[in-house]
Amino acid sequence: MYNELKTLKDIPEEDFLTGGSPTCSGCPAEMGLKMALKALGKNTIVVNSSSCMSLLCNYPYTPLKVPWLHSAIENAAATATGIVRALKILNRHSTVICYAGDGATYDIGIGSLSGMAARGDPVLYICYNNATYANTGGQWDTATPFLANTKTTPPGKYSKGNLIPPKNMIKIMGAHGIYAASASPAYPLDYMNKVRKAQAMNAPAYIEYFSPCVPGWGYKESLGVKVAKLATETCFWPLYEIENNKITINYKPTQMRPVKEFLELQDRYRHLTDYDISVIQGLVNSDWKELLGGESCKKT
Amino acid sequence: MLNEFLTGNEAVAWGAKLARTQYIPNYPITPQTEIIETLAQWQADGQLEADFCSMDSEHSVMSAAIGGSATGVRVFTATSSQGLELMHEMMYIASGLRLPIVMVNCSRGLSAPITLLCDHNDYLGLRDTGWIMINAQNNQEALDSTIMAFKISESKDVLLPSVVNMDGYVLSYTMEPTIVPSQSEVDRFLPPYRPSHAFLDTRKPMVQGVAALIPDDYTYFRKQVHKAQLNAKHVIEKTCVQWHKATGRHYGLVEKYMLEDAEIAIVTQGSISTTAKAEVQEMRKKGMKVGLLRLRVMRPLPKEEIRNTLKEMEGVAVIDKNLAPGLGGIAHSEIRDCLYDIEEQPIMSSFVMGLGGKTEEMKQFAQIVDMMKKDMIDKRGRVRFV
Amino acid sequence: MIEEHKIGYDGEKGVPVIRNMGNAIKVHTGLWRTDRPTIDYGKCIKCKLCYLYCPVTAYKWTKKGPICNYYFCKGCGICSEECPVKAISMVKEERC
Repeated sequence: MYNELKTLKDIPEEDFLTGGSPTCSGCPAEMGLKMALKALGKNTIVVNSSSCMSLLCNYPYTPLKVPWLHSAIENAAATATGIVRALKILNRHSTVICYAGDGATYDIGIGSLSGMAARGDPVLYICYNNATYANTGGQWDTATPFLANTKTTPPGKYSKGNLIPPKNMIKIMGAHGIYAASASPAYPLDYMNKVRKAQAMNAPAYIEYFSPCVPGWGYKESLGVKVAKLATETCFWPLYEIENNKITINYKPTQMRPVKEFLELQDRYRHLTDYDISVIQGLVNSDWKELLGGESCKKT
Repeated sequence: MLNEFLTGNEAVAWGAKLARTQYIPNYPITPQTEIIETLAQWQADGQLEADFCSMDSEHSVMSAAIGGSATGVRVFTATSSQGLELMHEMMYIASGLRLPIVMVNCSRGLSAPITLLCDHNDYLGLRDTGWIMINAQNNQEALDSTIMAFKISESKDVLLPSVVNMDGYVLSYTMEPTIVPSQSEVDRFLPPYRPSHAFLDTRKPMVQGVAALIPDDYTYFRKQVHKAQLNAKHVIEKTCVQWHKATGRHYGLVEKYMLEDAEIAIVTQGSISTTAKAEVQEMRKKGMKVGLLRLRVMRPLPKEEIRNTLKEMEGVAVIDKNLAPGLGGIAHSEIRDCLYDIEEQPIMSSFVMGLGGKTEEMKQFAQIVDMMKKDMIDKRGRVRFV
Repeated sequence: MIEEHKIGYDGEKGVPVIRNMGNAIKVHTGLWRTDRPTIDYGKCIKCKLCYLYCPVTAYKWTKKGPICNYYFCKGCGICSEECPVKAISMVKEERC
């Protein structure tokens, strides 16, 4: 039971994130934090792991209007456990969320995240996925898509970019039996409603927010939302949620756009040939088919 | 007050319980596992009002401890060797955030190669982290130090986390007669934890864990940690006086044993001190002018006490149950530093012994004093592995 | 030239926290931009998308519609790109 936002007019006007941060111009990750805090309200504590967003609170300035704790890169989930348990001891209730990057979530922090989900601590873990270690300049991590150009998987004479397909963290977290969902800035109502749904559950939850990165992906800074929209329209980044191990797809495009439209907006795919693009299209098609199959299986 | 027969692990668990710890994140590792198992059983029987939270790694344990302490509750945890090394990154963060967490370390030698038995390398790796370091020589002191550590850490003049070290196996698994103070005694000594410097409350929001990219700001905060450590010296002394009033048991920054007219001093840390003291007694009976200085607090290093005690000596034998490869004994170089400015410096020798849990026998200390005498004749301090 | 600093113990003030929440509004990130958004209120349908999307919360929502706080606006252009009726256009910033 949660207060669903039906239209843009229902969006609360109070903001918990001000301007004045040293984030990149047009940063979708900052947008994601702003939208999440809008949906959650004042009684929220944010735990951050070392990532682009850590630089929001650069002493002595902070744009936050809610409490914020940063400890290290791999332990946002474990730190949040400590906070949630301490609040219970102090007989206070606040929503505790983690706002961490994909590097901190997929790689170095997967242990503590899995521990938090397994223990059942009521933390909403929002991973903003820009598919690289963005804060250190844009290096490869296990969320980096196939054939993408990153600083540590650059294309060259003997390389085509990243040859390791990313792992599906949403399904991994869904397998823990918790609520796991994908989200996108291009579908803000869907994202904010998922955040509210997770908040109302008072149980561990995982939301992965698709966060294009202006310097990392190489696109014009005004196109952040458009890139995210194309990602969903091409089924590169489908919107779905997993609840009690059941997959529900939230948005099925009436016509699946060719993934080339998504790729051509970004410099990180500039080195691809038509053949490479067709390989990526094949991967997107098979992943989408698998997801559709995963949904219909559970319906019977 | 109860007269009990407790292992070191049980004694320390009593310390955590009596101090009314509120949150105990934990992870098992030999030889401290019995601490958390004792606490778990109490919690299951409704005898412990704390949140007992088993975590997925020691790194997560310290992260959760930081999260809990940053919110504003009293936190206790325990670990050893490899676990302590895994959480090493978080130790700096805990002291940098000024969170008064208390941790017990059951010292155990570090891998590789693997050992389960006691030495001090893991404990002494914490010297630069900003934690207050206290080394107990017996189970009674481990219990008392755990309770005192909360008071020291939570003092407004300090606000730093503390580690109480207890030798693995030698103390942790060995039963000794221990006096357990009553809850009311401890409540009178230790008030509840109500922080105003660091808490997470949506009614009064604050940001903890900031980026201080301007070097002057960063330097300022690091200097505050240093100042807090220096303050900790008098806070520890004051707390020991209060503990003495409450229970009659006396502790300090160092322990001086038969040093009044001594010519040779043996310097030790931890449980080997009790064996060494027994041998010092025997040597005194034979008329030898030997005494013992036990370094109870490693950080803040009690430079004045060390200098004032050892400057009268002609020979100082520093015993290190640890090894810094390429350097030698760790305590030896720290103690030497304290005696640098003296005009007539004693001859100082380093004895590295007891690594990997090798047991120290009483007669070995007599042999050490003999070797020390030889060094004093040669007027040359040496490093020896015994 | 180095000089010696003497710093005393500042107690709670020496703890690295920030209590002045939202004080980043003192940071003039508006100096970053090269293009500034201008709104045609005649076209605006008051859908709130620009207000919602702005990453630096530069827009304030009023009865008239969105009002941009140029002190923070970094000129990213997302508001202009996403406006469904193209009521926002990015105009070259003029500064000497």
